[in-house]
Amino acid sequence: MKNAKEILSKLKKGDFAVALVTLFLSALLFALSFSQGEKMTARIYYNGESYGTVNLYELSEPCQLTVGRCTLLFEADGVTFLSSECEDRLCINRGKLTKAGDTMACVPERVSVVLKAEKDEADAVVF
Amino acid sequence: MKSKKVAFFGLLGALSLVLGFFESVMLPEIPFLPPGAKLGLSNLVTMYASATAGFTGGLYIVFIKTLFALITRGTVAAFMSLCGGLASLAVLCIMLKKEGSLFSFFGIGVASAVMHNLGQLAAACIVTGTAELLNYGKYLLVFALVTGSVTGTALLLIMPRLRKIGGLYKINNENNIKEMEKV
Repeated sequence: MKNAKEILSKLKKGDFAVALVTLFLSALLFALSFSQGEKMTARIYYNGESYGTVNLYELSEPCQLTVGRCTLLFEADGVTFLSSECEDRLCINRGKLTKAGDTMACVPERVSVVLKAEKDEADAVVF
Repeated sequence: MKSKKVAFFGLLGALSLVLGFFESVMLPEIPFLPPGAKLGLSNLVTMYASATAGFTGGLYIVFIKTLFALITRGTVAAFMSLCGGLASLAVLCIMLKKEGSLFSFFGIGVASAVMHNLGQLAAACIVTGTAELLNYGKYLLVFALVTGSVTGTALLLIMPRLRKIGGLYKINNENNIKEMEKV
């Protein structure tokens, strides 16, 4: 491949540094958000302010909530954006948020949801 | 501003809008992409404009894209476009100074894609008031690495040929700003 050789011959040291830094940053973020098997609560933000919290582990059956012009579905194992009046549908396409640390926002409607792990006292690690 | 300059950036701006439209039609068909992720083809135009006409050249393209987002998709979209554009433009212009010595367009493409995503994410955090959204950056960073590689490699191959042609402006890294003022 002539083009492949041309590309490789033009790469500089800084290119690899940029790629490595990007990988490192994302690995760091993945590592920071890693958590497992904890009780989850969903925090809802609307218009830049805290709107409320839903303790997912307390839900015996799914429930719906309308925040602004977005409809959210809360289940024991996660949160889904069911509908939104905005055009881009990013929040709906995201699907169900299932892990602590997962976040999704419908930016045009200024609605966002953050899943947080609520640690049991007994499981907390003290250093 | 001279009419030739207006026409030049008008053409580039139109090109970036068309590329942006093209990918918005094409990309939703590809599964397993993080929502909000885009290939960033229009970033090619910003990089080209900055490489030939310096910071101001890139700024014109960013403003054209922002204005278009404002007209078609509203203030929130325009704000996100502006934040992403300015963040990527800043890094772009710093790195372009070392283009050919420390960085090639590959690294520049990756860095500007990463900064574009981070800028937009920061804008989303501001608009929704949720700092936790930054956590979503882990997907966007990996994705930006891929898309930045694609657009950067494309420019890596195209730029030498464009420089050879010369075209409307004598395209040369050192003299680009002087050239712009002469026209």
